Amino acid sequence: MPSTRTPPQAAPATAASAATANWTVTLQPGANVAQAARALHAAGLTISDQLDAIGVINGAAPERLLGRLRQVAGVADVSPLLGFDVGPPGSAVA
Amino acid sequence: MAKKPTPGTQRASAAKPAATSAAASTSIDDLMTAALARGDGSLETGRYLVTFKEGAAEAGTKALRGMNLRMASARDFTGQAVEMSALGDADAVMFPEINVALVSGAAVAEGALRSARAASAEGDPDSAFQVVEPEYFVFSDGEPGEYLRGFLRAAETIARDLGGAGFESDAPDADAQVLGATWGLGACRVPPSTRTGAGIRVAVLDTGMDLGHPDFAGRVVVSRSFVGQPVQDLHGHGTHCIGTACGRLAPAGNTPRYGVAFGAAIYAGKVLANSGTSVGGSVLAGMNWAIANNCQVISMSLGSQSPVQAAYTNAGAAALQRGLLIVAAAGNAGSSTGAPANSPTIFSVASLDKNLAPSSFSNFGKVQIAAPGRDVFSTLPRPRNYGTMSGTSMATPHVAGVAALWAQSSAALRGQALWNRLLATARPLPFAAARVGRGLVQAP
Repeated sequence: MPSTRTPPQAAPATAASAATANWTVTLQPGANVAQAARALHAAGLTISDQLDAIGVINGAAPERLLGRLRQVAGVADVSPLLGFDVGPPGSAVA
Repeated sequence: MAKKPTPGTQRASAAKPAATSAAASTSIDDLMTAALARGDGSLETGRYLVTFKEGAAEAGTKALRGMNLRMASARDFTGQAVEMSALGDADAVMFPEINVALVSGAAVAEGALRSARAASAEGDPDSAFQVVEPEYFVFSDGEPGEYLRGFLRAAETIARDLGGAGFESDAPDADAQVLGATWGLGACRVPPSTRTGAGIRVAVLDTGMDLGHPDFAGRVVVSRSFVGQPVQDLHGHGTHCIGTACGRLAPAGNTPRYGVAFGAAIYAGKVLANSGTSVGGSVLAGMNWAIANNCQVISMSLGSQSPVQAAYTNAGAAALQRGLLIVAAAGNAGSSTGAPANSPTIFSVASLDKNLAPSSFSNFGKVQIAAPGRDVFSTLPRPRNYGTMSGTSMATPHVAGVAALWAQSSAALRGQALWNRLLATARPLPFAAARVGRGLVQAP
């Protein structure tokens, strides 16, 4: 299966969860995506997308866990999830 | 949610119901999709608002129940904050504080409410109903929240479709009508090419596609949404890009040819919502889908002014490794190329004006190639059908379409080889490589 999408889970209403952010985790070439996903989940990442074909996992986690996520075996990079916007309909330039 | 219109915009209550399938719980997106598909030029949602006479709310509610309508009430919800999606199969929802009930189109068209509607129109003194009238799309004038922003944008599309100001123009320029093809296709030498893109899968990751557009009738279209909305394009950007990359060879009437790879299979991935914005990781999810489906050409007319992102570089590398090519818009900030086009594994496209000079808005720096991006004529969702738009978003599908033509010409032209061929065959232009890359993309 090329990808798995699950709805983001609601974070518990604690002070720590206030700093929860969405992250894109890029894996090293050849890394086992399923294995990395399990390890990331164990490290505190709530996974929303497991994208096997491109070696990327999206998810949410408190910012304080960033260091731990970056230490997971097979992880090459953890960055904030990027948003895109082509502007409203009828924009002069799109 | 949609609200009652101002009195000046109300239509005659005897008008034919706009849509009979609009249930009380139907989402705004679905209502708008139906409005577009209907193409009757109205702003009706397809549902109805029943206003009770003063002091007759109870009698009116009883009357609705007597018509075998499944009734819900705002009072069923905490703080009377009605969640429309939670109404289930209710035919109507009562708003007791304002003496109004929202009723499904089917209930009005098929049930006793039809006669009640007629009675109210005639001022029947025995009726509990003051008026039964269509519900209309109405939008905030202020700073909307994110959901309303999307709602507003979709509505703007419909409003424009109904004859207001909008995209730059509906009509192709005069030259295009004489030559039978847009200036962009001419500049890329598409019309003389014998290639069609047959056998090539072109993925366009954007705001979706007008799946019922007549110019795509009979085409192979595979679609998937990653934003929680139907693929049906209520924005217009995606339909325009797909038109340029894959539009038909001979559009009807005087419409010039505007599409490049008219024989390619279309993979329409909706990664931007009808508001024009991504939802969570929708863009990466769409890239994953296109790659998993072996789309030889993946077109991304979107960008963000951010530094190189490892995830997009990975995705581009994964594509090249599989013999696929991702082309992306350099961006329109008049600044350095944004993500994902700034990744070294993604083919970046700059925009040209009709005089083949770089467009003022076009980003620069990491640019592979340039293509027509100013005043590009292509498809728009019905009922508008066609219009012109400008941007590196419009340049990118020119390159995607031409890449599909090259890919069809040889099975060896895949991934990096296709990348190299596009560069090797580009027409040099007298501008810095940072502005136009190797030059103007050229068809085989």
